[in-house]
Amino acid sequence: MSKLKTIIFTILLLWLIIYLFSNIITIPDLNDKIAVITIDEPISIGKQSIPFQNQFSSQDIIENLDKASQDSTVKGIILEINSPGGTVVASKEIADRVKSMNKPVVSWIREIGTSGAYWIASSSDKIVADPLSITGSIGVISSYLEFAGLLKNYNVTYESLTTGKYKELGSPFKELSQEERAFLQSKLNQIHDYFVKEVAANRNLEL
Amino acid sequence: MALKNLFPSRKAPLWRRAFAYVIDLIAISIIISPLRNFEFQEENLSSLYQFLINNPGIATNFILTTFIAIIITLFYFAFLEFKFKQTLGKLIMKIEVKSLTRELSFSQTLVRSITKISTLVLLIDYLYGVINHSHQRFFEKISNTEVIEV
Repeated sequence: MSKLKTIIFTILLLWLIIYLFSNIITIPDLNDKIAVITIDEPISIGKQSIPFQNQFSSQDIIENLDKASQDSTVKGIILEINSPGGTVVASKEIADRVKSMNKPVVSWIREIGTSGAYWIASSSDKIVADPLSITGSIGVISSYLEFAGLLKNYNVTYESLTTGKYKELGSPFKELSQEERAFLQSKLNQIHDYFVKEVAANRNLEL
Repeated sequence: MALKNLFPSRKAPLWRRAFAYVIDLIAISIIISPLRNFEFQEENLSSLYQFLINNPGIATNFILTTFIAIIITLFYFAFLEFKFKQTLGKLIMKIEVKSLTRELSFSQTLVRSITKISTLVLLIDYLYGVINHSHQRFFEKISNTEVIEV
């Protein structure tokens, strides 16, 4: 074999040895990242859904989740949760998006991760919390200030013209009737049942 | 007596040696191409050092990869020069390594190849010869070898 061929053969042989060796050692891609998405305010659909409170918009959180999902260098997501929860649909939207993520999601509950925030956490692959973290509160609350008595005390009359049986449901200017109360309560019960079932399914718990 | 011994060997000019080295670098880069390059994003040595300290797994792989690259480079030059007196680059540029004392040995080719693990170190090695108006690098001098035209 000529000298040139022998040298080239030697080079190829060395390349082969290195190639076989490179399959053994794992060289991490230094561009790999973990995305950290913070949820440390009450959650709502829009930024001003809850008056006088800073809030996280579900849209913002979902946008961040989408970015992390589409970024090939992001290998996992940490949800850093320090939130008492928020509105029903906003919490559900985020929880559904977390569940559909194509990458591992870990929820890290800091001081508090309750109600809607816990719903979101339960949708992730893993939950990490401190023994003193406040979690759970798997329930629904609906409340408002009712001024009917106050208006009466000041001899103020509230007039309204409506159509539809429950059109004025939840108006702060009139007392809630028994029927209206029962109707609202049934809605809360429905939401609560859904909430409980979702969390149970997410956490592999039997009801 | 071999004819070639009647005529003194011509020292290989710098440009041939430089071209031969470039060809050899290409060959070595092909050999180690399966090893992934580490693309550190740290801006200076201090932050790189800190990064490696904080990531022992990455540091281990980095050191291992660098070590393999060095071994391959040394082996490439030392073995081929010992076996054939030439590497691929030297073969193409028609130059070869010659021992100034006895038959060329592996230890000689190994010693003369030490500075080839880094182009910068090789340059400093070569500057020795330039400063001393000699055609030999420092490690060629201590290994009793020279590079001649074929």
